[in-house]
Amino acid sequence: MTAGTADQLRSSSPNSGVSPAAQAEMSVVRSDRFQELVGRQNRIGFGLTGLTFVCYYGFFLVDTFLPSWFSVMIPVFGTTGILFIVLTFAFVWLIALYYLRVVQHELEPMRNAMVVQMSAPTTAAASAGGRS
Amino acid sequence: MIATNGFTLPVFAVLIAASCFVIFRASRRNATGSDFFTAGRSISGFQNGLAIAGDFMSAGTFLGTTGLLFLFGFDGGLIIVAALFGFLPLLFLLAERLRNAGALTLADVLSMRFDGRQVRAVTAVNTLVVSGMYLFAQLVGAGVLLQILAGWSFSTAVAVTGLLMTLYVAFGGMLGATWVMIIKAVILFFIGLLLCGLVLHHAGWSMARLSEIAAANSGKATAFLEPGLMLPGKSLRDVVDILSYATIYMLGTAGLPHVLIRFFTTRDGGAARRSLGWAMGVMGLFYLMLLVVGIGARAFLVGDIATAAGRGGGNLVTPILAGELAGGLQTVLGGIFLAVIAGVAFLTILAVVSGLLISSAGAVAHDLLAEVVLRRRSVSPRQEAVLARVTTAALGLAASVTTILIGPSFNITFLIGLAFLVAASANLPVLMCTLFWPRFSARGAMTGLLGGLVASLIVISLSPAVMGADAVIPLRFPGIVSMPVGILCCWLGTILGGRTADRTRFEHMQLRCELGVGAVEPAALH
Repeated sequence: MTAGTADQLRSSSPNSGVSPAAQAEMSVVRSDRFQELVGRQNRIGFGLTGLTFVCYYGFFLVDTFLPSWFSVMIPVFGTTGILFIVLTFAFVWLIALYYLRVVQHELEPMRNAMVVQMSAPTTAAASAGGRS
Repeated sequence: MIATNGFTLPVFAVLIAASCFVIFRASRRNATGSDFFTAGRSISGFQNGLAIAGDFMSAGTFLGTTGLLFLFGFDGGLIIVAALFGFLPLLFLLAERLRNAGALTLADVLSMRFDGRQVRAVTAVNTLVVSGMYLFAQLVGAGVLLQILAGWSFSTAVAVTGLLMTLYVAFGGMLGATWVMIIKAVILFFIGLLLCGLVLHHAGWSMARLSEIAAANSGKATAFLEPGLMLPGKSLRDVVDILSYATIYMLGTAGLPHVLIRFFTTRDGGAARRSLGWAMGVMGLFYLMLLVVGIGARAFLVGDIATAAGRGGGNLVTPILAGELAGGLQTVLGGIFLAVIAGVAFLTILAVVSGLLISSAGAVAHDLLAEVVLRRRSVSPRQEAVLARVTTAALGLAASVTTILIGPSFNITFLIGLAFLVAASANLPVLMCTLFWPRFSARGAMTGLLGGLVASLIVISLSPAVMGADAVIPLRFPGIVSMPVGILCCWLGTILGGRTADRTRFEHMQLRCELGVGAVEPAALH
């Protein structure tokens, strides 16, 4: 949990009708770091989905309106159509790999740090209360 | 019937015995409902990736796509592009969040935001419609295919498939079904690799040469290698149909319950994410192999054999090609190869229908019975496992008997079409709104689920799949009509529904889905 969230937790009213754990959750969700994490995750996810749609419908639009592009005989692949299919597969693999790397190296560390910070006060409270 | 030889039954027996051993091992780890439906969340990313790939390397893909390539050339390959692209939105937006939600079924995810039994019940019904229709289609397909491949009657083929499917799921649960899919995916991958290698070997390891021979033997010259044989694209209707086809196959994949529940089985959100990377890698390679095999079939099957292969929608192309490449259908090696292909096709069908049955059983046992009819507090995790097994047996029996009664001539296009339409028009819009739209309300979810379901039923009933040449909606793939209706229903239900969405529950769900932590149950928030 962030320092800001911890502060919010300490200042939350005990008589607000919501359990302390629920208050902690809400504090985390409304913290700047969590919102930044969600914002980045959504920007990457929806951005790449948009790129996927452009590529996907682009392929089918070429197939529909410019079929001659897929009809040229070429060495190695046979026709440009087969080459295009191979290229779309390469696109799928590369964009998936890119996403996996970005999440692994940029978003995962942010998530892990927040989870560790969230669990810290819980552990302390449990220890103080004599519960595991 | 092509494959009743001395090798067919032994191959079937070996594959069934191997899968039964796997199911027996898995049956000892199904103590609770969670174990049964999510394999105790013990599946690694690589394993789940292979299982997802196994799910999509179905008999329809292995035999059907090769047949489409054989019959329609380049256009037959479009479906593999659609199938692979369909996994990208799942990866970018859904997989990790679904796993982090910690749910057992799709309805559980929606219930994180919306109280009450109505949303859960309607979600379960939609799941049942999608998985059930898909299951019927697969069983009809299995019956027809095994008639040809193994020489069984339709009723025998469906009864054997239905019995084994029910036993696999009732005893093995999700863990058993997962391992059968993994084993099947590995066997199928290497068979695809072998067939691809043999085809390319016969063509001098030249794809260009292979394409030339295929075009020459197709009777359609270079048109075989160009767009237009299956999806003409000459009129505005054709253009809309192609775009609708592209949309429904891509987005329908992201709304299929039996695909979505696979993410509930992984150890954590990261494993769910990585599993799709593995799945797309394995499936992509397999699909490219099929492209070679399909074109190769057109190149190397000629005369009466080509005519025989083209019957039944081209489903016999792969086994006949395998037999021919191994030296001829009448030779020992050809017979063995043919029997292996038939056996693997049977195992493929078993694995896929098992996945569909477990999805249907989850909707009935967990959502409708445990959560709606009996209510949660009265059913312990162990009782839920028993309930799941009994439900599986009942559904498996009902599905098998119904399939035998409706017979081999039933319209599979209608069943598969309806499954994809409901998945894309009802399930996906509601799931996306639930995860990403804070204002989305229970009324919006109900309207979206029901509106998408009804719209799907109406458009497919008015399409050529049901009405033939007199169709009111002349699109063979009418998803481009029903999807906007589903989305509009979500929006209208929320805007006009009156009750505002519970922001706290959205935040709880967001925390859980983004971080994979769920310290508080939704009920504790009130």
